[in-house]
Amino acid sequence: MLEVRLAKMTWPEVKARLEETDVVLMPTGAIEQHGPHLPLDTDIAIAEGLALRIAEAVADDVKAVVAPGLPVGASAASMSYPGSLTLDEVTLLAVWEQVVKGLIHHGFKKVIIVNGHGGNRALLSTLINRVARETGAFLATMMSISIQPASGATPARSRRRSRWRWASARRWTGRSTRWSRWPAS
Amino acid sequence: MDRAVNEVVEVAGVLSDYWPFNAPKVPITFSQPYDEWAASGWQGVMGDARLASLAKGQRLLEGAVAAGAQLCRNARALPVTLKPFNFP
Repeated sequence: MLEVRLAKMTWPEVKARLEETDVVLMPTGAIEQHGPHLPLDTDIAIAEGLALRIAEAVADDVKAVVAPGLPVGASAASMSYPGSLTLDEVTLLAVWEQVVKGLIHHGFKKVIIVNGHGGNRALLSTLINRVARETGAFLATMMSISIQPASGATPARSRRRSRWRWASARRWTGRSTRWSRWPAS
Repeated sequence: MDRAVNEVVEVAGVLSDYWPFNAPKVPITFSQPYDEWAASGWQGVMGDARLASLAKGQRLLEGAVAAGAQLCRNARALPVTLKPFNFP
């Protein structure tokens, strides 16, 4: 079976994979309370599990790679619960940006962030739009219930087609799928 | 975390929109029949509406995988030219 986990590959394997794909999935989540019945890593476990399932679903054609999950997110509101961890917004944004730029640097020109934590959403929106504008890469973030593309790298002529395709994706989720407004050309 | 545990957490997490925080941890697996789970007594805690949300959560997860896969395919097909950028 095709190895999809970046961290389990050797660098020559990554180099070879980059000949076949430029798509990477990057899980983000949180280490925070989820009530007395769930572990602190629930959000990152969901994000990693979802990313791996997606990568396995496209292993025959896209051959996407899953980057190591970045477990700690924006969880200041949970810090009164023992064990919860958080990073301030500036630090978190800087960490994500460095990792994403590293992936782009190596040739992963399409970065899909699979996010498991609602508290990360606003910062991830800032991240994908900033990095897409600076690098020209395609970035998008998705949760189990929503997809948000950054359109900085999306050519105008393919925008209409992409809109239609993402609208199709909305039907599969069975819930409202939210994405940012496409910026003016 | 092994895959089975991961799946339990995924289901529970996907259901977090519907799941009360004070509910006990429920050892659900994808293979456990709905009726068996309902008969285990959890309906007293969760109520029939929340039991039904298990099936809804599974559909949501399957939908998320399908949507993510389509997103990957869409992204793969996009022509992208990188700009020079400073890194590291």
